[in-house]
Amino acid sequence: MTTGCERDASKQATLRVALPGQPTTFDPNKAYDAISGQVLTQLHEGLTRHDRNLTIQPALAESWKFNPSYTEITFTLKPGMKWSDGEPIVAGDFEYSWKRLLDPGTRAEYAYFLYDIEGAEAYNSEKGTRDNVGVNAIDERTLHVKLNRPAPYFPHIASFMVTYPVREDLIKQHGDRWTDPDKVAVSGPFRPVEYLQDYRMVLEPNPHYGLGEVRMKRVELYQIAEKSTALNLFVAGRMDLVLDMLPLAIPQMKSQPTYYNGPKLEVRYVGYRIDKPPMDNAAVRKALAMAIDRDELPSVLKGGEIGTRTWLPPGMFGHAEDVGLAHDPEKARALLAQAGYPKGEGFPEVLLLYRAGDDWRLIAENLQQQWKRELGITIRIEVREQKVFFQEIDGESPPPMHLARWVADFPDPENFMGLFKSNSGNNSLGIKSEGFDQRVDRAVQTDDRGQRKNLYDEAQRVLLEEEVAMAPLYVNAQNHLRDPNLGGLEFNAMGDLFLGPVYWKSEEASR
Amino acid sequence: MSTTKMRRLLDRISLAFIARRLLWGIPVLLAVVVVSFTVLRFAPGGPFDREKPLPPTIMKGLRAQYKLDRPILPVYTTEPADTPRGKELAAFEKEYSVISAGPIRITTSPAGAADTQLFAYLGQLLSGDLGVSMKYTEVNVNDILRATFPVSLKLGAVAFFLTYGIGVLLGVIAARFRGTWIDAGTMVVATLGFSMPNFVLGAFLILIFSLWMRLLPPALWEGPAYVILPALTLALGPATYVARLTRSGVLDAMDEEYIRTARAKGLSERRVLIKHALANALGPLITVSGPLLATLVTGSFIVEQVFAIPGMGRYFITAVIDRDYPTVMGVTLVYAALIVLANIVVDVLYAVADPRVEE
Repeated sequence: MTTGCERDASKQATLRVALPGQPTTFDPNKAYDAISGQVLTQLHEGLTRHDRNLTIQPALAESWKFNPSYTEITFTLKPGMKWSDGEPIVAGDFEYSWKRLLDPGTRAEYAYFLYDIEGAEAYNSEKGTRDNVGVNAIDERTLHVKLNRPAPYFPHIASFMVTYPVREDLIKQHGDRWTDPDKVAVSGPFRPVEYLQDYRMVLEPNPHYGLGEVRMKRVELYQIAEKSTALNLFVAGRMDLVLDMLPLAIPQMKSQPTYYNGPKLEVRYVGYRIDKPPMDNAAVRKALAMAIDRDELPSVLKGGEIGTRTWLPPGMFGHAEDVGLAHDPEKARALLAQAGYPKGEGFPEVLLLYRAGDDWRLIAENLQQQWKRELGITIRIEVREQKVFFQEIDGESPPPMHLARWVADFPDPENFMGLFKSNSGNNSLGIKSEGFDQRVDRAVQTDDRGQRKNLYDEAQRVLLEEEVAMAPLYVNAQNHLRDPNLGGLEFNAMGDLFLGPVYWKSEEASR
Repeated sequence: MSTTKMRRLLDRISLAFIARRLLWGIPVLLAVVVVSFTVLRFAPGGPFDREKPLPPTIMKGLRAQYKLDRPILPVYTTEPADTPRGKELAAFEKEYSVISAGPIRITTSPAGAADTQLFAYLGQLLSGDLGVSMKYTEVNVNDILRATFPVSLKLGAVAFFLTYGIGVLLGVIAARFRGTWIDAGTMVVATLGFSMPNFVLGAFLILIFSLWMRLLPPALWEGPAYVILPALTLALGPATYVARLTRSGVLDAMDEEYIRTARAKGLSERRVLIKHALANALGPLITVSGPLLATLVTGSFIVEQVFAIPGMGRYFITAVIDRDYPTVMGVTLVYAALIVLANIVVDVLYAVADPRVEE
């Protein structure tokens, strides 16, 4: 083997990453899944990005400015930024990208992400025109955005993968194939040089990248759906970073320096269908929520999860520890009796639906046990294949209870609270509360953090204590494996992955 | 071999024979397509049902793009128009065109049968287009298969030779030492191997050869060394089956007169065993080889998943879970076509190997 020696030398600047599966697309506008996001953040940059504390930082934008009523925002791009083919990155690339995202013909799942922009929803739902969308490149470095309501959180939105700039000329020239390694131009730290469907993508530094030094000479992103395989490869020294590791192995790896555990802005919850008996009785929904001891779930799941009774997770603005129904089995039993089911007698066998997956099954089984133990009621738990689950939840006859989650798209309460507004397309609970909607809408009309927080506290109380549309269970965690010799690798609670600044510490020492 | 015998053999494997068998493959494949297409479309859940529901206009656009908004099949009925069910159907027929043939009315969509999903798909197939994946919406299924099938083919071919190599060797050894502890031991191992699931076997092999002995890579697909463990994992199960077929075939022959004759002629036991007795076991070995080859070269979900191999096998499961209709149909078609082909090859081989088989 003549390559042995060469490999050792080049290994110094090579990073091998195991992604937990296959990205569905490399087109930023069309992306919707987390794995595509993990690839796209290496290839592209947005106007803004989040640091490790989820504070918004400039990326391709140098600065931004709102008008006093937060209904217009103007981004100024950094000077001298270039695409990987040497072309300048201009405000027009953003305007094109955002209008393409909203174009109903693009059929982008995340088009609604820009619905705060004037005329965006109309264009996307075929009721308006492209020209009436309120995003305009004033000159090469100025992007002006007109909003249809105050959105002080908008700089967060401009960090999300679907808002990355794309190149009109390449898309016009190559159609769907514009993302192929030999055709694409990128704005991020790495450019793709090779892609093998269902196997791996190889990256090399983008020679025109202007937002910091890129240390790795080569990055190999492997797509390994089987978590035990990724673990084997890591143990055998053939992977340097494994994202989303095998939960079963966590107890065993916990004390190792290779193990990373951190919070994630993902809340899992029991969703009630509040218009379906017996869930149409608020006393029943409260009793079920108060009977759950949230601390039991992390001990069953063992992945560093944190039990929670509130909706806005810790680590995000707006989190309030004391909001939501506390664990109180006595009170839960009393409420159930009040609803006409003393000691659980006569309570129907209500269905709790969950989707295929070990973690979901463990939650469902644990809840079933807890409710049996505390309330004396028997809940029927049933599993569905993912696609069937999603269809039933939003179908004509949804189950009275289901297990769901929300993963933050951007770290602002608006993203979590907007979910349960009456007009939300993602509202699978049937909750329609004016009191809730009003507070959530008012909260975005101000930048006064104290005032915003009060409004969100009130809105959470409506959601969790009055309407009791759902019962939060726990905040999920991130569990990764990485070579302790890797420097510059930081994770934030959004699960963002930035490999641009990553380097080998040993190489650093010999520099 | 006399000339008449030779001619008979050639007759049996004539081009006409092969052509006839190939022609028969067409209705078989057509049946496979129609049945799997229909079953798949009627399964609950669809490719665009996602955790965050798609906005209605986007959903509508996607369904139109993939023709999912059309009727799945042409509907026909013999129901008289004046019964309640008939009325219901009549209302339905207003929207769709109707072909009447005596008591049978065939109901399709406005543009006729070609506008149903099934016929649109069949038409597309005729032009060699398997369609665009509904999960990887920029990738054509032809391209997915072009990238992944050669990988599964390579792995499967190695596994196939391993299967027969190991199986025949074990079978002959067991037969040679019939009744001894070697025979019993070999057959116990064979039974164990046959009943051990792939993923357990794969995990064992990885543990021993990769993590303990550090001889072979635990996964990935980078060169010859990466083929060994997955090919072994694929091969060991069927190899034990082949071993038992070989053993019983050889043992049956041992009692035949021609074996006694061969021994009487003074041939060594090894030659008797290999040249004469083994030939007796060939028939069943060839019979199972066709379907086995087709199964091995189309890849195994578990083995490709456990060893992170970019083959076609994993799509048999993932595409179904994703309700990625065009991809499910694509892999099913490849598999069915290979089964048909393999069976033709087996029939030809059978005729060659056993001259006693007359048409």
